[in-house]
Amino acid sequence: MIRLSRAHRSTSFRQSDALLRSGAISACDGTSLRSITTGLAIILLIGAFTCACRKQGVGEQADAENIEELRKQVAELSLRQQVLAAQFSLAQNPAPYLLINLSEHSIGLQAKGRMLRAFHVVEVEKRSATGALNTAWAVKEKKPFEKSERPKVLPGQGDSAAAEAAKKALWGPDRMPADYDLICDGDRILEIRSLPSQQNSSRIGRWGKSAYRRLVEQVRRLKESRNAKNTVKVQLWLSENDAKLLFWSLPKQLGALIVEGVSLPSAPPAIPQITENSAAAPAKSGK
Amino acid sequence: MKRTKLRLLIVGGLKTRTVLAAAVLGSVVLVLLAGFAWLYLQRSEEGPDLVVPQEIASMDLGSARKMAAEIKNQIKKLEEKESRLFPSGPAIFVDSAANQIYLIKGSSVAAKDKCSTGSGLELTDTNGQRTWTFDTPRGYFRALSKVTNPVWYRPDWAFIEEGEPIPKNRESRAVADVLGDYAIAFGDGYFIHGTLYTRMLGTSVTHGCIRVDDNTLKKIYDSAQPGTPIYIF
Repeated sequence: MIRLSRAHRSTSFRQSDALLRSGAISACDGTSLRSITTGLAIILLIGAFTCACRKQGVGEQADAENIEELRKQVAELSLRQQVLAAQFSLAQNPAPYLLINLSEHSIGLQAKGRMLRAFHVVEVEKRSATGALNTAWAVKEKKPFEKSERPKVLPGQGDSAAAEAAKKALWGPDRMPADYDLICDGDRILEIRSLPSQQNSSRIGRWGKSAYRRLVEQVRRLKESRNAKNTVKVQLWLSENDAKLLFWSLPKQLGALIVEGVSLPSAPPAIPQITENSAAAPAKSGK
Repeated sequence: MKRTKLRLLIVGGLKTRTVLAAAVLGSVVLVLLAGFAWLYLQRSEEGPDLVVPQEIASMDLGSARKMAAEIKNQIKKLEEKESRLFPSGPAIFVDSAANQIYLIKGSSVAAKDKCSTGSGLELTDTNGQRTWTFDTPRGYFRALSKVTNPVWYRPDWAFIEEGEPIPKNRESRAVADVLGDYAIAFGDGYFIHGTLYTRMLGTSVTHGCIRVDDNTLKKIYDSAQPGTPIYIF
């Protein structure tokens, strides 16, 4: 809407008055002035109507956006409910289980909804895993690439062998394999791979080791592809210490829930002192 | 004249060699860089976009609102139910990596101490026919029974390890006092028990049982009942 200032209006009235007085505008011109005013009023009305219609259109668009947003929210909630139900059915069972959250890069060894150990996942890679996530898997077997050499005790050696082995730290989480597969039911595999831990070497050393391990993994994958099966694979890269400690902590068989796209509240620790850092700290066993 | 030609040849030869070496080195570097770039691109870390199922995508505003409220309610109930799953009574936790034992009651630590778990040693008998590995099992167990002043009936491996002949009768296997004042059985011949070797607590030296100092063991023994959960990880 155009608003005329008071001064402007008074000037235009004065001008038209002067024009009428001077007889420059005749009586019939007065009629045309009326029709111009009417025309202006109609234009203003049409303008106002258009504005109102446009406002209504914006409202409808907002509604449409609203419902899209709401539908998305319902879908998210539905997925969250599905994951929580799967987690609840695992937690009902007294046995420990793994909760792997791909979006949050975390692995939790949990029991009854409480955290026993927490691990950080450095990298995640999924291969043909669509549809297999957000459901419970059953880990059937731990399959390391290299078997850990156990310390031996000879007949007649007695208890001293155990003390000696403990002194030399011949067994413990540090001696566990760092690269292994967790074979699950239904042709599904959780591949645990390790990257050098921060405290183990310098930055350049770590970079070199990481590059080498990735290369080895690619070669392994190429070899595997020759006798390829329709296997669902999720590959998790952990720090070396975490990968070893995870292997050490796992029972022979357990359930696992692999979550993606859902943010879950972190489980409270089973033992109040255990936090992520202390849980993943280097083991003290055998020293 | 001949000498100049020879010199030119040598210099030319040297240049060619240098150029060749540089080319080979350059190619190797390029191949390596391409390899690493390929490895980097191979990583697929991005999560998927949320797929809205058809039945949700066709919902009107009212139904979507109603469903969202219903699901929120169910999620709340599930979370509440899960928070109640953890045993409110006593539970025993054994961190075998750190050789620590905890007695938890609800959300508080009633006892915490060093313990000893399996040494991981492997014993093979003289004939090479039987092998034992001395590991503490991981996972969930339950206290099956409680014994005061337990007597240890030595299994075959205990005799083989000491280089002694295996007795025929059960009575010859019985040894008193080595398991401490109390023992809690949790299946397959495994016990949480006391020890004479208190200096070794905190290290992995046992044949699979869990050894605990007598004072801490008393607290655990008093709280535990048959059925008390035991988590070893």
